[in-house]
Amino acid sequence: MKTKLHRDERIRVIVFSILLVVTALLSMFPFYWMILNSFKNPSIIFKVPTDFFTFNLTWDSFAAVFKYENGIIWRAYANSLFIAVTSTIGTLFTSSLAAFAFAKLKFRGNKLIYSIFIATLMIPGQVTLLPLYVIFAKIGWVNTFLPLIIPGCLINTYGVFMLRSFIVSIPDDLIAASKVDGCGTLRQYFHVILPLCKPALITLGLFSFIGSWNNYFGQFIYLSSEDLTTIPLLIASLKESNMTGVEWGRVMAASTLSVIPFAVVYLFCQKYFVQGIATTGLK
Amino acid sequence: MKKQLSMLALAAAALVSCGGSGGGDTGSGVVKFSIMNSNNERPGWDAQIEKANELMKADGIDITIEKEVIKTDSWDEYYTKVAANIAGRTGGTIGRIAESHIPNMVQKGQLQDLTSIVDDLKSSDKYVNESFEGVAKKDGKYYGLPSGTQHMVLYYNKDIIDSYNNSHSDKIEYPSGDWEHASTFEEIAETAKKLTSGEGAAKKFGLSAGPYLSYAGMYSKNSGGVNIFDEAGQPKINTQPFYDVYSWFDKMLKVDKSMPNTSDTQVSTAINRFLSGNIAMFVDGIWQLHEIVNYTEFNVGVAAIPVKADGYSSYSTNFKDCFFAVKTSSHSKADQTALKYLMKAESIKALAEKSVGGFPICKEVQETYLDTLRETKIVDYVDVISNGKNKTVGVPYSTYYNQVDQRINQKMSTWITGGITSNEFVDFMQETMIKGMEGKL
Repeated sequence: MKTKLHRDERIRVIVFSILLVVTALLSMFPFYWMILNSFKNPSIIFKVPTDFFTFNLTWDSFAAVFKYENGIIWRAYANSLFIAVTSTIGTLFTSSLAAFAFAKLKFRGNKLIYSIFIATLMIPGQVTLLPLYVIFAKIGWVNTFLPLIIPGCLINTYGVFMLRSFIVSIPDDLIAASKVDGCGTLRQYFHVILPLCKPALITLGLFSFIGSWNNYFGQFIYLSSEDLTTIPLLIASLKESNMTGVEWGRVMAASTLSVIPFAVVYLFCQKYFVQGIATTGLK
Repeated sequence: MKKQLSMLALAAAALVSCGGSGGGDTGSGVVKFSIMNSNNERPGWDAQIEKANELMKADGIDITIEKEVIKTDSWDEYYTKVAANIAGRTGGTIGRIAESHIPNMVQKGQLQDLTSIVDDLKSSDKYVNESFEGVAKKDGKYYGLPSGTQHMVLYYNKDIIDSYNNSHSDKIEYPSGDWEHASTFEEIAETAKKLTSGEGAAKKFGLSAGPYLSYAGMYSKNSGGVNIFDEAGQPKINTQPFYDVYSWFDKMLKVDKSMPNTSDTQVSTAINRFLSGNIAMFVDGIWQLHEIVNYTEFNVGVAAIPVKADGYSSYSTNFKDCFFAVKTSSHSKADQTALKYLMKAESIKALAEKSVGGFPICKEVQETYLDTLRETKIVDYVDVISNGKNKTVGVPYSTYYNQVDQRINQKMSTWITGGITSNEFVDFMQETMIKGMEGKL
């Protein structure tokens, strides 16, 4: 009986492991394909039959990306980093502050305000796009980074929702104890809440960074000058128009380069990221 | 006295505002010109802008055209950006856009009336006057200036056909380049079947010809039918010529499997497959010429669009992307002066010398464009390309056309995968067009 149970368990583990390996391979395949094609000679990317494994690799596509528009990729990197880092820092600060207030401070209308706040998640971005554009145009923010940074810094409903879920789980006794030690509300936030929120903050930071880095449409709408080019806009530039086909080698090389920053960040913060996801109950 | 002074000031202000901004009749300052990002085409547009600036400077006009490159390869995204610019009064005040977006822009009142420019150009007798007609004209007013005209042709890989002929006893003829005696649907289908080989990822297709609504009118005309609508403006898609055309596609897609279906071209587009020698014959526009002459290692031929049978003339779908000026501009006079200079023969010539923008609408520049083609591997087919512009049909774009087109494209895979017959698909096209006209989509 015991042996049968043991055998069933082993079969289950093997089946699950195979399923996980297959799923992992399927998830990784687009990255593999992107990286492989970025190193392939552009003329054989669409070779039939397709080369899924090849050692005939070249740096040509990367060289083309670095040469494009006199090395504009460096400026695009700097601009994308500036937008992503500043909006992430701003988002983390304001979202954690608001989440702390909603989770731990007792004031009249807390739940109602929070409900209204959360309801705004249901408004699709496309609905507010043009009115926001007109407002930003009127205050002279179009063709600057401000519309891509400031709104996210001022209000990030998803961030507040996520952090509040985490902060609610922090025992009230800790807050009470800090009060006994003479902490005011702000000191409670800085010295008790923030250190305990590290995993959730890192998770939100990653989401925010990736969202900001990949925000092609926002950057497309608000930015026009060459000097303000970002990585997603550069990738779009590297494609030719519909009328002349697409330079997939260059697009793949630029896309490979574009995932490097968050691949590095993710590698360093993986532990906190998993912890943050697990403890906030969010995916 | 105070009251009189205020009245005087008001009158002066009114007079100033009537005059618009800028200096004199031409306006002045910087005019931003929106163009879509295309590395291959940019040298052409740059040359045209540069020449227009040079001409304005020589004429003592204080206007400089500066380009604003909109970084997208999709006309829909491009229009979104232009619409945002119009709403926010930012970005380019003049630009170039696909013909398909013009009706909506006109209906929304987003465009300046360019009738006076068109009238001047038409009266000069230097331009192909018919090219100004079309969707950019509404209620007798013109809201767009064609930046060139582009039509459809059939490209073919001569090496694939030669190679087939060398190894088979039943010889294949090159498709006909005579627009009055074009190859028939049957002949092209037969050739496509013979040139189809292999299976799976290694499969090579005989023909690629998009069965899209935009091209349906051309094929219908080549079968004796109408261009989507009859003379009374009623859609006539559910008629025999359309059934015949889609039955031809049906046979190639489902029976012979000599045409790639939508999933076959999802990863690698039809043009890329043709360029890599994976498709033997390819129906597409002359906007692909640049790519085809520069990025193919095989010999290329150009032929007329196939017809139903001998005796039918071959028509080609014609596209006219347009220059426009936005209505919310604060310097409309300068915008219109800039457009006038972009339309000058010298500026159009600068564009044509780079083989960009399609057939020039300025008569004296057309030879320049053809000369650029004569310097390429398709030198023997320049007349075929040139003659193709003589019998064209425009796409009947309207405010609802894009929506109809999208619905039909969504249904296309159901037909291609065998969910419905080609006749049912044609009926669906007709119903969708009627719903679009009635605003029920």
